[in-house]
Amino acid sequence: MVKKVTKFLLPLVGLAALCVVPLFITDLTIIHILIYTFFFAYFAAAWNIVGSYAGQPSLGHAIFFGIGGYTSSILFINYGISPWVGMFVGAILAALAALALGFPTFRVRGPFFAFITLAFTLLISLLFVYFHDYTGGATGLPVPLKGDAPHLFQFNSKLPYYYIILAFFCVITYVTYRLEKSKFGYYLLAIREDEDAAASVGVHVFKYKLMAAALSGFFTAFLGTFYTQYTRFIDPHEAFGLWRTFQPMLISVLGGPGLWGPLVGAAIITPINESIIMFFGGRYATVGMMLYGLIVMLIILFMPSGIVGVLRRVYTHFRS
Amino acid sequence: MLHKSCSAITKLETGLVILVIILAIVAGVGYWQVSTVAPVTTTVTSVETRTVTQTSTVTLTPGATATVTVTQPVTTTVTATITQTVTEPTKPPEPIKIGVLFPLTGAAAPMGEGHVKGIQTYAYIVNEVWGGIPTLGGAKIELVIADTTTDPKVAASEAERLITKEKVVAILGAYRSADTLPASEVAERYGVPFVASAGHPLITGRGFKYVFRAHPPVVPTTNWAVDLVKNVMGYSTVAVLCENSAMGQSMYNMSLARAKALGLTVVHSELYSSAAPDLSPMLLKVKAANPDAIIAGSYLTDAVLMVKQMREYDVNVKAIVFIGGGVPPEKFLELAGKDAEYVIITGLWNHDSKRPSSIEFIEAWKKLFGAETLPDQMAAEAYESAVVLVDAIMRARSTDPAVIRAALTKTQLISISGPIEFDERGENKYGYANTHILQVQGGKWVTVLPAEAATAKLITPMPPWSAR
Amino acid sequence: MQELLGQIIVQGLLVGGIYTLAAAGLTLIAGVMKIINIAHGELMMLAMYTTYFLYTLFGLDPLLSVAVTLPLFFAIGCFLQMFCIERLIKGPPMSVIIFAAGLIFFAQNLAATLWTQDFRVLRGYATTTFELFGLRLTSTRLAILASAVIVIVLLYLLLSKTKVGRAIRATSQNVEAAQLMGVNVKLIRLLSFGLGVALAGLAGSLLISIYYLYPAVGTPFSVIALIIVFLGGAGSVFGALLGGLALGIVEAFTGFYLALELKDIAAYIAFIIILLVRPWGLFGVKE
Repeated sequence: MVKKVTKFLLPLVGLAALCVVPLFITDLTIIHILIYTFFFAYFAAAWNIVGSYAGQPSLGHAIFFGIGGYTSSILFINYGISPWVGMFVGAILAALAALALGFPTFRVRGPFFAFITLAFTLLISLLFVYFHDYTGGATGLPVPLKGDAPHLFQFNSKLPYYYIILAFFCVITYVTYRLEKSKFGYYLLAIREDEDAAASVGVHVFKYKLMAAALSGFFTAFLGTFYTQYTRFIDPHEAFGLWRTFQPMLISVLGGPGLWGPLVGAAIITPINESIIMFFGGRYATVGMMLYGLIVMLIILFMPSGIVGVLRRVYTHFRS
Repeated sequence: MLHKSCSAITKLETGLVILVIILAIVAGVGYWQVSTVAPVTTTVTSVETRTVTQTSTVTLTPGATATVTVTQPVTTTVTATITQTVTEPTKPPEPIKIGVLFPLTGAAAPMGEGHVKGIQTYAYIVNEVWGGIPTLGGAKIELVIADTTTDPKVAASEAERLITKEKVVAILGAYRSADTLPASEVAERYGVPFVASAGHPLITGRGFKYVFRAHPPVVPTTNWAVDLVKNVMGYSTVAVLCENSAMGQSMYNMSLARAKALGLTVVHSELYSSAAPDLSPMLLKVKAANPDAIIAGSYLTDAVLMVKQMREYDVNVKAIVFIGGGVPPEKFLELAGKDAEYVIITGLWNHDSKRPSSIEFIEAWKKLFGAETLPDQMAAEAYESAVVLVDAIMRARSTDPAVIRAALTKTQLISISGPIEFDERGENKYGYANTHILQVQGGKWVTVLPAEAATAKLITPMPPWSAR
Repeated sequence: MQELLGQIIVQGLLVGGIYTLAAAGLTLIAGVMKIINIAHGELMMLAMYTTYFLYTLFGLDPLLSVAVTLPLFFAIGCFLQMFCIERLIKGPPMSVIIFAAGLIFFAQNLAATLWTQDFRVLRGYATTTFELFGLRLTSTRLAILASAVIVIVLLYLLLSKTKVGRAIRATSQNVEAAQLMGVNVKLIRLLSFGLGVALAGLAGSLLISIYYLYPAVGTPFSVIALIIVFLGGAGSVFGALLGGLALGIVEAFTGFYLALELKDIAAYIAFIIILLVRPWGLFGVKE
């Protein structure tokens, strides 16, 4: 009984602390940094479902992100449908896209899912530029300014966005938590560790990989809508670009696997990232990006379980 | 057993997470910059009078038999007794910060550079020749230059930084339509005037109050290009080739619409990526379709590639018309070399212009950047937007963005390309009239239309590649 | 229209030469080490920059700068293999992919930081166009096609006639058996990876004569090379040649009959088709 309370107590205390932060911090820059921290954490957590838990790293999560952002925007601009609704439509489309990408690749041994997702970020970008009459082409789509319109997922102040992304993060963390403890989660673990052994005990490998991909894509799409509503703009580069597709993997690898890896990774990267941009202007963003690439390479070489992995080892070391 | 250690580790992890978040917040606070302005009060009285009278002859439609002459006297008399309360004696007035947001790196960097230099030229005139803005006690202009890196997201965040951190009173930018749209949206949100140097119709088509545009944008220049081919040159078939970003797309749609309206047959139309290293599939199709002329909406590198590959694949037409805006004429000439001969471009100005304001522009430019260099259309476009902005600031007699905005709506002046007066969208009413047509003749750009500004005659049809 | 058809096919072959060059190194690495280096394109991009600066600063012709980039990139390849790849292939297979993704990101932004996003072209580099049977051919593209064919032939000779080549093929087919036969597989892996990256360097050097250069130019090449390796089979050099030429021709027709903008779609469709039709995967052909 005591254990159960402590297990949930700390996260809840943390959540409460985060909720009251805006009462003390009024500098919008900080709120902006916090929003991006949870944005990245959510992104990595959603990616983890297929990338980490199912062992199928995807290099094209930008596809699902972009589908989410574009769907809700197109529905809003052309039909006046609120992005809150469009968000779910986008999520379903993204899940379908994940299934479509997984279908030819999960049947086959090897990192094909990674290849096909990489190839398709380029392809989908191309298609969105070509069909410019529907998607705004290379120009992108500006979200119509409606001022403060909560039912239209638009706010003049940054605070509502902060609470929304916080809520999103709680949702994805909860989903991941339940996944970890469920039968589905154990199947994924078995598949990741040894596909053949899993198959031999009757685990339907193909089906579960597809489910993981669909789930991952579904949740990633929500983020696409959030981002588009926050920046009020989407274009193929924002939605499907290399940085976008690289982001979740970077955070996940840095933070490490497990429930809190994404948040740890995001909490470290984001303040650094945003500070570089704010301080030096957009021009030096590439220096930061270079570092991220380097971080991923170094971590995968020397610390493959990420920061969380290191901390775990330190903890067990001190315990014994 | 697995469960026990799991929950213990979860406790550690969550504690750590909270710690990390607190550290992040502390780090963020550490970067928090607080700027305080100490109030100053002194008493200053100044009187300033400036009278400007100009006239201009304007032809409103090409090839029309009737010429409408508009004589527009613009008299601006500024007599002011300014009593300012400033406590600190003999302190020069605060410089007026103006945001200059253009691509300094990235694909559009060559064009961005030209724009920035144009603005710097006018700032030089205001600061050094005039000695600062007369109606604001000789306050000098301080240009805060920011790089869009040819990326709309960066453009938007830089605009935000200029407004919130640098506290600029207005922004000039951003050359590429795709970057200007989000950047100007940020300015609108914060209530800061944005005088745009970018062509897309949507920039002034969103019902915004704070966005203005002085130079002839895509709509009139594209219409001019089509009118040129049909009415002036008298051809009947055309191919429309445009790059596929915001600028090119708008030129594409506009050309097709105008061609249809005039009865000009479009035998081939295509969009292409400005980064494409090979335009031959498209050019081969053009060769097969055999149009009289090509109308192209391009940026610099693809324009150069286009003429180069036209020569390589022996694609011959009677005229090549680039809708200007994406192609800096001097750089095009430099990179395309001999292939540039006879190429036509629409624009707002050329350095062979005889206007006094134009000569003033060129002389200031030479003083700043060297006697052997010349400004081009990119610089002219930006120079003009700076002229408009400074004029508004002068009449506003204030650095309050809202007051400057009100002054902008009442703009009435004649600049290096012609008269400038804004309609309710923030667009210059005289855009079509201010468009000039330039052609490369003898390795130099000359103005061929409108007649009053022309220094040479239009040459068409151009000789085939094999005959050069 | 007849002559246009011929011209399109010629364009396709010329582009195919480019693709073959890009894929040659990748297929070699894939055959031996059973991994696809998705950062292959970025290595090409770095070679392009190297060649660009050699040309701009020292006036060295790209064709000649191959003498510099080939050994330089061989060294880079060996370095990567020795300190990074060798470690990673011992672990979970996804590690290599993640590492390569990090490398892509690092390389692209390194280029952007050092050399900005400005498009670069070789200025004043003379290309002649001449006519042959009513078809127009540019000298640079012909040179690339010729180089591609030469490279493939040399590779084939290397693999079939030399001791090293036989060792490489043995390692590709069965690592344990090769080891038992006395092959130093670690050394072979080192050489193959080095050679593969060297070929990427070669490709980059030649391509700068045709392509605009900017930091992101490499990624599409990685994808195309990847697709050609599937098309032709990992480790098969003639597969790379045929695959590259085939893809080039399909692309040329797509670009002409559909739209220039959609030209790249051909490669992606080919990718899906292969995956659906040959579901036993990349290395299944040899096994």
